[in-house]
Amino acid sequence: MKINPSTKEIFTDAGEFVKRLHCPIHIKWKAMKKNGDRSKICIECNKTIHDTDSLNDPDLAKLIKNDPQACLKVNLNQDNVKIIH
Amino acid sequence: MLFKRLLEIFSANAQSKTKKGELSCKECNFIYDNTFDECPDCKYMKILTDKSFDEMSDGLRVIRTIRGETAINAAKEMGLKLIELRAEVSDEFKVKYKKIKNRTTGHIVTLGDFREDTSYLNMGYKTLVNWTSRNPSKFFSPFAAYIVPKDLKSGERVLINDVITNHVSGRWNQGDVYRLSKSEAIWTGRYFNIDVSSYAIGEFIG
Repeated sequence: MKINPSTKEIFTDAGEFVKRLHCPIHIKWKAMKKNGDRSKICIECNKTIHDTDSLNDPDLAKLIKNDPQACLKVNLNQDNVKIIH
Repeated sequence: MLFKRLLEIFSANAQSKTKKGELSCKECNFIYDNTFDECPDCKYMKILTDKSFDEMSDGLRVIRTIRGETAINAAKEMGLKLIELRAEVSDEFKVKYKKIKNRTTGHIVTLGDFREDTSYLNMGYKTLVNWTSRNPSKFFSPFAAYIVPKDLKSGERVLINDVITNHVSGRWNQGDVYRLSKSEAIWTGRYFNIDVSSYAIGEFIG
């Protein structure tokens, strides 16, 4: 997975666009309700936020294909993320 | 047109001559660095004359930033309330990069992540510029100001699309340090208290 921190756009390693991250609520990951190991629930909107830490590119693409509005969490320092500018 | 009229009144660079790496604006004759996408003097004058002054974003009032003496002087003439601040480049911010070129096609790629290095070099790329850093902060003028709506109430949360002061937005464990360019802030009645966490980029959700 690749992310451009300026535009908040996510791509697969092959360069295919996945989605642009945008959330008007600005709730921190720490403040969300636990929902298993790979996701949390937003305390404001009740949507599930998927942690991309353990997602590979095919799983990520499949997730967004099934639900283009799915919310994701990406940390700059996670091992499976490359930064592009 | 108000924009053109303001340019005539406030542009003071008509006699300047361009040097290497500079461009002269066709509208106002302002001389500017050719790495800017457009004439910065005109860009901020257009912000002043834009009609959508009551723009909202995510339920917050958007605060406009203007940069450069021309726009600031014009804003004062227009009677706008300004918070003037110095726009200073901080050495703290850095974004690393490496430029490589495909030996066969000549295709040039800019890398930003150490982990991409090996894979590209194995694909027939050679190094043009080895890993180095640049400071992405670049202000065409040390003069900048926020335009404060006259009815803004103390304690109101706002959105600033172009933050003037320097704040760290995020740090990457490969050494890159990002500057906060956009942020929510609280108007205290005298200044904007920048809420760095609102747009910090260590963690992205959306």
